[in-house]
Amino acid sequence: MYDVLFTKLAEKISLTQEETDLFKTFLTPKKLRRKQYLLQEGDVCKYVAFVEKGALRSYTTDDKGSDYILQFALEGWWISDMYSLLTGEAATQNIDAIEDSELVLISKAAQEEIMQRIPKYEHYMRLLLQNAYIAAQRRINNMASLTTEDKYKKLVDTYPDIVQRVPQHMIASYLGLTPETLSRARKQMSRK
Amino acid sequence: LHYQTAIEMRTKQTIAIIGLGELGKRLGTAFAVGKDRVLLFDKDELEARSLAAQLKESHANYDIEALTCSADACWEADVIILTVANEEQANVANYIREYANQKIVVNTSGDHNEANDLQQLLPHSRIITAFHDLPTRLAGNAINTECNVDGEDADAIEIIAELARLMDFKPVTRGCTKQVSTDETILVG
Repeated sequence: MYDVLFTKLAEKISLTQEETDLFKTFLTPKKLRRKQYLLQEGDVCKYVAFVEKGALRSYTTDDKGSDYILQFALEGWWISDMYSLLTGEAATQNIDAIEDSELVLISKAAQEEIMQRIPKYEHYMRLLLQNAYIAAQRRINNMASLTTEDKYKKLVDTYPDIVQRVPQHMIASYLGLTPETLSRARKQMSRK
Repeated sequence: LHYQTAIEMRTKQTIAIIGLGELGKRLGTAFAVGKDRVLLFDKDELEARSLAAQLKESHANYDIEALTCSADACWEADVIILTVANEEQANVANYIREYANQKIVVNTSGDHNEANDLQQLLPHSRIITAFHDLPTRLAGNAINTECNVDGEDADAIEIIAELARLMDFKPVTRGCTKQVSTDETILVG
């Protein structure tokens, strides 16, 4: 139930058996079916979620009802509305399952307690947030500077699993394109 | 007659009802007016399937399903309501322990010793005692009566109190440092 999580943790920190057992007591296992929400805009986000199996997305919706996908999360990834989690304010994002998923949830209070009792986890979280910040910066830069074709190519090269598993209209939304524009770009790329 | 509360959540919760005696059936029926997803489990699979089908027929939008494994139901659930006989509680708790970790588990026996026993069996679950006398009250058409919701976890108490309000009961909380105010309950109809 927690195999992927502890494999991922082991890439960055080494936990003793005692620490692993203690860590597990703070975890909430959760199954989410496809299209079910983990969080809806307006609620306060209470958890960070780690994906053991399946796929999730976070997105915002504008006044006209159009969705803008901010992040995908496949096996081994974390997802949350960090702003809402850290400030206690209402979430501006929705998080739902693209596939039937198995998650590990950690509440804000549990995070604090784990970090206090297993200081190595604080180090892990620092690295995680650092990498998340770098990824966010890279995404902003790519969105502002790359052509449509290059945006798609970058996604295919960096995250081939996402392109394989996620519907094209969601990929288009993530790249800030219409499905038609993405379709044209893919056709042009296949001709080259 | 219904109540509007200040803490209405938009995200749909999943509630697992484990055991479909009189109380389990009544809770499954009462939650039809809400928007939460409800999973039914009983060792009599046919009983669970038939209740789910019957409630789905009478409430077309009710997101209800019968599952054949209590562990699966608890894995998917945010809130687990145990309505099994006291002598079965230990067996069920042992079976669902891993999946109930950090989750809200409602003890419906009304007996605080039973709640303590359940906490020992599920040491990392958030145990709440509630709903034990609901069948009598619902059968008597009692409306706007008090419903005890006891436990140690303030957030868990708030979530179960909200379920009590859904059934038109007024939650009265005990055993928690943060009391759930019933003043935020506004009578609107």
